[in-house]
Amino acid sequence: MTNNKISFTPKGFNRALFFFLLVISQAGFSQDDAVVDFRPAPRGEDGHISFEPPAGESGTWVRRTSTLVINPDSYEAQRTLNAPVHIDDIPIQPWAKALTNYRHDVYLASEPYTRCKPASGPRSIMSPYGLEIVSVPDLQRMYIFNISNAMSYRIIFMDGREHPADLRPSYSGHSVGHWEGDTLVVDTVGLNEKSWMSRDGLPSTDQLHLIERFSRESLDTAHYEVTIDDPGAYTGPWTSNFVLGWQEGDEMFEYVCQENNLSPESMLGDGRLSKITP
Amino acid sequence: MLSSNISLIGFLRQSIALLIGLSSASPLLAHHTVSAKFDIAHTISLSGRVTEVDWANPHVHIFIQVDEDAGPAGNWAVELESTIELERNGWTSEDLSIGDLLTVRGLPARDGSEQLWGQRIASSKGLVLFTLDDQALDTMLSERPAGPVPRWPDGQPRLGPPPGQTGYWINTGSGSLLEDGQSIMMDAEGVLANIEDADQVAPFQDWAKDLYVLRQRNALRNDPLYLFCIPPGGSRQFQLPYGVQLVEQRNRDRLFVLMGSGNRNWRLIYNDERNQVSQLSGNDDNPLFYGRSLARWDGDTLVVNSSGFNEGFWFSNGGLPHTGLLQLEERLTRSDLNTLRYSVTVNDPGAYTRSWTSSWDMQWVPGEEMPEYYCQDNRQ
Repeated sequence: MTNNKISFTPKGFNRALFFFLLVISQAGFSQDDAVVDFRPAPRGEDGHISFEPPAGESGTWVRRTSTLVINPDSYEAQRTLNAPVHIDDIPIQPWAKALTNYRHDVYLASEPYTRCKPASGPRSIMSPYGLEIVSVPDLQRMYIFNISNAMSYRIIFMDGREHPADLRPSYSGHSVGHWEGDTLVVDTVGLNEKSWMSRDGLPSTDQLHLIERFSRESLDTAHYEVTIDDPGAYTGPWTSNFVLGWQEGDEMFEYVCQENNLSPESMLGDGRLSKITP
Repeated sequence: MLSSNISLIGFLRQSIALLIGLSSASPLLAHHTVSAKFDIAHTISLSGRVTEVDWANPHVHIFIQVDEDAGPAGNWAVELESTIELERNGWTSEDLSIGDLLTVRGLPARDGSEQLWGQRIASSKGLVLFTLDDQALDTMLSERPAGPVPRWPDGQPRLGPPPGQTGYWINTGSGSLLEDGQSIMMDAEGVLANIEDADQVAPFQDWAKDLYVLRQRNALRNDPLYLFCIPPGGSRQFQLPYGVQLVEQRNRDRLFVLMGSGNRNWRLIYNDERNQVSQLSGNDDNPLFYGRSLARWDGDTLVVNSSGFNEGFWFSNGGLPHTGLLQLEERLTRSDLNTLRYSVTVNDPGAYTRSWTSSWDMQWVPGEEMPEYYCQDNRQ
């Protein structure tokens, strides 16, 4: 990094120590993120922002934070501190709050993701290792490919269609997208209740309606904002967001959750194991 | 197995309230070899009230509480085909309610547990009849509009839909890899009708043939896809019932194979000779389930060379073994709008005495997305 040169004239020990620590901390940061690329976001042939690499390059997106809400009752509360909203400030229904607390009491151990099941919405975007947001204009659709999250994908229809009336709940739901300026807006319904919509342990129901807004400030940084509208678990819509960082030079790689799943029975879910065996 | 049931359907159509006819001989039904789990030599009947409907993949389960006087008492799990096949045939989860009284006939589990492969389900609830057969699919395939190979502006064949359309490929042919030129009987899962035919399937080395025969004699019950949802690497993704969708991203020199079966994985095929990067650091030759695939066009044929496979999966239906030396050359040739020839040459000096080739046609399903199917939804 070239922009974190700090010049100062120490006037006292405390101030010197402060700047010393500041320099150390920034040096540490710049070691982790060795190169920040300040090139502008690339654009596709249609003129819209592209979430893909510039021509001839490669790259994937990785979350920079991994929760939607600050939650002091989280079993990993420290990890939630970068979230933009506090759990006490979202319109969560009492049963949903109680269930969230219970899930943290048991260290989120029952999360379907850890049983190799896929998720949609924010959980799919905050999953580790990386993802790609790919436009296939020829098919009038976009895809989000995940490395983890069951090494699966979501389809976003960009052809102006509406959600089907007779939608059956599924893991992916049904997603339609459109552009508002340089922001990709994705509207999703039809999600089942078998996976969690985020790492926060926050419940959702099959009434969940997601509006996800993807924007790319530069080559290096994308912004993800999600509005959660689920009258089954919340009393009103609420919004959170997090940042995605560009992993320049990366390609998606194979990640098979089941490869070392030492508890395949747990994939069955609660209570089924005793009844159904291979 | 169920030919007698199938012939009964017409007769029963008017009189039985609710009936499910299943045929394991049909290539698109039978998600796994029923005989691996259930005793196909015996049939039992049970009556009871529905306690739970588990409408999930790979197999739907209906739980019924059987009382002493109606059969072996207990809470029985009645296993059916996937939600996709049930819904394709007009049955939905709303058609059953907790407390409904059902009479079920089917195959008992080999291990004596309270599980039944449902062949026929009758209810007193309403005059509705459900059957599972390939008729809907056969009709769709026969009514597809014909057409030439769709092409890109530069003349290269498109492996996906014509512009602005959608669709995917399914396998309607036989089950496992079988060396071209051989003609033997096997079912959709690759189980041989006659185990003596094993020698003709492929040029096995002795140990590989022994393992293949063992897996066949065990009715494929140790299949890691069936047991643990291990991915359908190698050629297997092109054999399974729910198809593959091919997404060409020409501006990035790559092709995605999206899988309808297994765990709805993607597989990346690069068209520009690059190696896959960004495995974990120092891990660039870590053997993979899908291997590393590089493709080039040879006229109208996409030739995909793959290597770097691990040994933790079955690369074909039917239990054909492979080793880490496996190399595949897949050749994809679209001969018209509706037909994709898939031909794979297997080169594995660890398991076979020479390289050999197996080929079949994939059929285009126009206008539809692949149904969402996750093996891990509810492992059977």
